[in-house]
Amino acid sequence: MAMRLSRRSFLKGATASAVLAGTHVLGFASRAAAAEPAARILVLVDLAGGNDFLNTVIPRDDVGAPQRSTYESLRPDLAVPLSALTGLSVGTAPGLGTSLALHPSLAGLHKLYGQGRLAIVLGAGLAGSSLSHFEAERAWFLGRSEVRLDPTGWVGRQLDQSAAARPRAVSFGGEVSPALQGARADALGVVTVDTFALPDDPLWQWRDGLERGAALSALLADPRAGLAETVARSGRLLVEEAERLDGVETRGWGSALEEDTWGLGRDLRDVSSLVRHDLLNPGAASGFDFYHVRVGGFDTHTRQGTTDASWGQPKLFAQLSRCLLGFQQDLDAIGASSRVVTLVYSEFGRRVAQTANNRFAGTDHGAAGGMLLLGNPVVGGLHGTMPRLDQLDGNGNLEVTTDFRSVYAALIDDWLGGDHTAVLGASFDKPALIDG
Amino acid sequence: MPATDPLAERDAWHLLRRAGFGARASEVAELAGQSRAAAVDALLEARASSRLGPGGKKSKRHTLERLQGWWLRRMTSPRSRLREKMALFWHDHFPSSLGLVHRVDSLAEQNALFRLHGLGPFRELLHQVTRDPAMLEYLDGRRNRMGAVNENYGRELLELFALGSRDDDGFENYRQADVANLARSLTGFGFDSVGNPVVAVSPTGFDPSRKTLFVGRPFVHSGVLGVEDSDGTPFPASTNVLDAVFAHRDARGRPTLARFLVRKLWAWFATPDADEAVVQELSQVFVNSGYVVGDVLRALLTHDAFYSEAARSSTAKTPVEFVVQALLALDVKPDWQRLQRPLLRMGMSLFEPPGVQGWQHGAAWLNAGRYLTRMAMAQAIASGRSRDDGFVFQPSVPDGATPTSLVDAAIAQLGLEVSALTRKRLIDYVSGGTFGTESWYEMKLRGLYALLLSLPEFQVH
Repeated sequence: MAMRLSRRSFLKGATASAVLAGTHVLGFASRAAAAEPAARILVLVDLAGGNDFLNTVIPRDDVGAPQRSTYESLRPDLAVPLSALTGLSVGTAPGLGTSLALHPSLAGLHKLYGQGRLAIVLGAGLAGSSLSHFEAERAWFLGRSEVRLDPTGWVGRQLDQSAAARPRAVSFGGEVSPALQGARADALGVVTVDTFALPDDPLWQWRDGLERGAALSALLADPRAGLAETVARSGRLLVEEAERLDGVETRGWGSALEEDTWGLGRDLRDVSSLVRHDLLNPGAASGFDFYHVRVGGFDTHTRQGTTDASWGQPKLFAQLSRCLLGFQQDLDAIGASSRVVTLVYSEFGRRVAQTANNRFAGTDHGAAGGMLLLGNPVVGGLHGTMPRLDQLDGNGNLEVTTDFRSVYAALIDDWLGGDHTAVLGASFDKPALIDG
Repeated sequence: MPATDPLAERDAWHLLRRAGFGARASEVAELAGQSRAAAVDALLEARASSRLGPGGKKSKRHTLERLQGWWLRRMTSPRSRLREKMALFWHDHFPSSLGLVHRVDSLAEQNALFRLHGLGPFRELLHQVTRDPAMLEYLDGRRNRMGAVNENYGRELLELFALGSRDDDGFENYRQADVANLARSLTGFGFDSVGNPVVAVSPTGFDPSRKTLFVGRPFVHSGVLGVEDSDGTPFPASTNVLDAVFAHRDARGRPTLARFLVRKLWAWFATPDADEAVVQELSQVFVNSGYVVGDVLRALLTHDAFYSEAARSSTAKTPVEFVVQALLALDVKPDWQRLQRPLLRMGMSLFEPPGVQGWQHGAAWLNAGRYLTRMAMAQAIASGRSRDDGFVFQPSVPDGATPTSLVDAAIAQLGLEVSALTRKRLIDYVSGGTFGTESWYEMKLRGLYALLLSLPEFQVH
């Protein structure tokens, strides 16, 4: 039986052959300058499609404004009943005084709220935006209201501020989030950590894997122009990073998300596995400090659901809550909870009135939504102003009360130690979201 | 330097890669020497076909794999290559996915729609898509009823299928009120009483009130706007909401829909960015032809800019193009159905687009993680014996062959253009081991093909 060739020996072979040939075929900076484990990590969780925030943080009474009664009258088939909100209170909306509660499928998040590790930003969005997914996503990814000129993402511009030779940002799910795209900084697209490996089947070795690996590395370093060079650069990056990620344990170390084999749970387990790897291997850390994961299904024009956690938004919430809680437990277990802040965002909230008047009820695209920040460093509690349900905009949507970029500003200045005016191209009043 | 007309061999490769899914080198050699017009006419002459792939009422992976395999195989047929290329374009433009449609037979029927109408008048295609069961499910059109309006399809019709949200100058092409009024004009489409996908407009579901579209534009449409009656008779142009969309003009008075689609076709067939002169010229052709897609394709595929150096190697192959081009050129006949898994890993499972905007094109196909999956596929093909995918690949070694002749032949077989340095590295690689032995054949010759299919040059076209 053929011996299995590990990724590491494949790449070691590539490097060794290059050295023997007396040329620096890999064509990029030496990996001698090992990264340190990152002290401050930001994890972005994108709820793609536009999460209905009104069924995320739900009004329970009419204190301050007719919030609950308007909610029930515009959503006869979608309003979460008061009886389902017992024990899920998150206090009263600042200023208005309306009592609010988390959706019953978000019990895990409520637990974090009770521990002071969940900040809820009410009424977040971009005032005056069109209700297009793609325009809204672009604004959130790029951290700009004017998105036609500069294609860099807000995290990418933060990364551009310091010249790093290696990528510090990882995007899961196969695509590199535009939020991470810098003008100079590389970001890594990873489907999963385990599959981020060069072909490694039992036939590989006797099929000349070592020499072919060396040849491939050399070929990727040949001079090129245009799109082919962009591809070659991606190829050089993958050879380098596949070696760096080799040996990262993603299973069997006791992750709370051990059993998750797909989606958000697997992606967040990959994140906690990388953070753990870095802490255990300070001399050979990945050095990643930005992670982006994306979970879809929130574009609930129909079949949004109310409380039944077997379908619709409640099902997505149950998964979200379980995975975010599990991720936070992982960070606690590996001693990293003071190093990581997680931001949960979505391109917009949804229309207050429901669509179909039956069990297929859903909601169209809206304006204001909300944001969640998780982690030990955050100032838990309610932030911002809840939009009034009796004062909707001309399209029947909740008015934006918090510019989402002010939350980015707080993260840039108070968590990442950056300068939000330089990164966002404008100055914002920041909410106090990070413990000083 | 102007490209030659008649086609040089590299022009023929370019045309068959873009207007089809590649070819065998022998076919390319036959096409070379023909005029652009003759070559493109031959591509366009493929008979209209309403061929329907295998389906089933249920959402079964195995059935989906059969449909995918059936379609992939059709892509390799010389007679239907452009029609299938356009079907793929329309699948990307008007996406629907199994996860939301739930029925493989509806996806097969939508696919047949793209095959039948894909080169014809876009007005007809848009009408058919608007009443297509898979689309009515995917974007909730069947749940859009008077008094319970659902804006999902209406919004994407304007933004992604017909106009784009903004014109070149950044001005909004429409407002939220237009989306709402369009959605009301599209109310009533539904299935039969037991939920079978037999589509008709319900007299009680349709909103018969007056609606106004595109206020403040040169062509304001007002009236009882709709698409078709409950007996299927289309509304006349004066009150047909689809005609209102065609009549839209941007802030400079230019035909918005024609420009929008021409840009998208240009990006799909030629280069990501189109010059304004090209957009103007081709959108004029499109409008003058009555929006016949085949006519604008004829102008596009014979255009000097299509054959310009700037257009060569300027777009990333999609995973489907990567796989089909490789298998065609190497004359490998796989079990097409089993390509579903590798395509999923590469990010392009057919009938499972990631969202209503279709797939993300360009360099996004080849970020580090995705490029890895192509290298794995390259190895699977070159190894010639993948149990998973059923490839049989036995490269031949002619009498008198040398490492140099074998490398040159393989490069020509794939229609690649590589630098002298890259060629030399490949020759050095094949020169390793003991030439002609079985172990050399298994390692070096198969290794050569794994390398060629992994090269950046093979990922772009």
